[in-house]
Amino acid sequence: MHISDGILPLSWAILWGASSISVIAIALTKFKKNLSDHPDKKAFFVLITAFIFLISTIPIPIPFAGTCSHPVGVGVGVLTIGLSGSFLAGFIVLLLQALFLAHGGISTLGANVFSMAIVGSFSAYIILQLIKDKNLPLFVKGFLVGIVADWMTYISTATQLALALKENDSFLHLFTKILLAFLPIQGPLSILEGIITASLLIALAKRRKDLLEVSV
Amino acid sequence: MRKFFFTFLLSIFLLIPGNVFAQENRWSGMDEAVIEKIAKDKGKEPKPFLELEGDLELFAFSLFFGISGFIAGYYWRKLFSERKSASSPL
Repeated sequence: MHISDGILPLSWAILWGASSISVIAIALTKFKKNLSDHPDKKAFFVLITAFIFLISTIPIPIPFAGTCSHPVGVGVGVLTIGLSGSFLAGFIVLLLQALFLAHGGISTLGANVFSMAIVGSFSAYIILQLIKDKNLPLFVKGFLVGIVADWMTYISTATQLALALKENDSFLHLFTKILLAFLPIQGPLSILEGIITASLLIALAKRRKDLLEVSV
Repeated sequence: MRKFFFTFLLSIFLLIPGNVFAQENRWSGMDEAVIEKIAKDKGKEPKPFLELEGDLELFAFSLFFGISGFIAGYYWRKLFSERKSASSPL
């Protein structure tokens, strides 16, 4: 979902940038307070940010499509360091990828942060709120959070691209075209992302339940 | 049983030959295969501020994977292993 520099018109890049900066600023204030209440979470935040960096950078081959893609990782962020922590971790990861790995872009950083860090995390948070008190196995909870974060990130990227590039085309037509192009690649990968999220959630729950955002 | 299921699923992902559907630009990243292709169709050429040419890309990815792997491992040990060994005598 990394949109490169030069793809989005300047007006859209500024709009997404301004929206993302506002949300990240609020998240930073909230997370700072959270850290002062739970100092243990500082090390956990670093661990999860490094993990999100790793899995959102690694290209995984998708044999069905003959191409590569990557998970987004923010589902893990929401389950472990909370919504504001996940916003910030996603922002840091995308900033590092844009600055040092030519992955994404500087002018499109706001758009990429909005789709992965903000929409991905927020949708994971919503689904978590809906299922956390349900009598579901922990694996299912983790799987649903991971898969929804992945889907929503790509739906958001498709929306951004369709809005910016539609010209004379209709938004819906271009949006559907992009989404259908994502589907054979990201469909199987989102299942893998669900499994990774659920497996990590179980591994963490076995060791430190107290650090998790979800009750187990 | 569960472990077997996951291993089986992962094997399907990783071992099926990849030339079933795609003949051109095999194993290109999705950003290139979808996002940049659609942008090019619409007359928008990607113009990266930073370009990592040749093995420089491999170097940057290896370096950052190494650093983030080290950080993840270090804090995993700090949060989980050290705490466990501190709470159990000997």
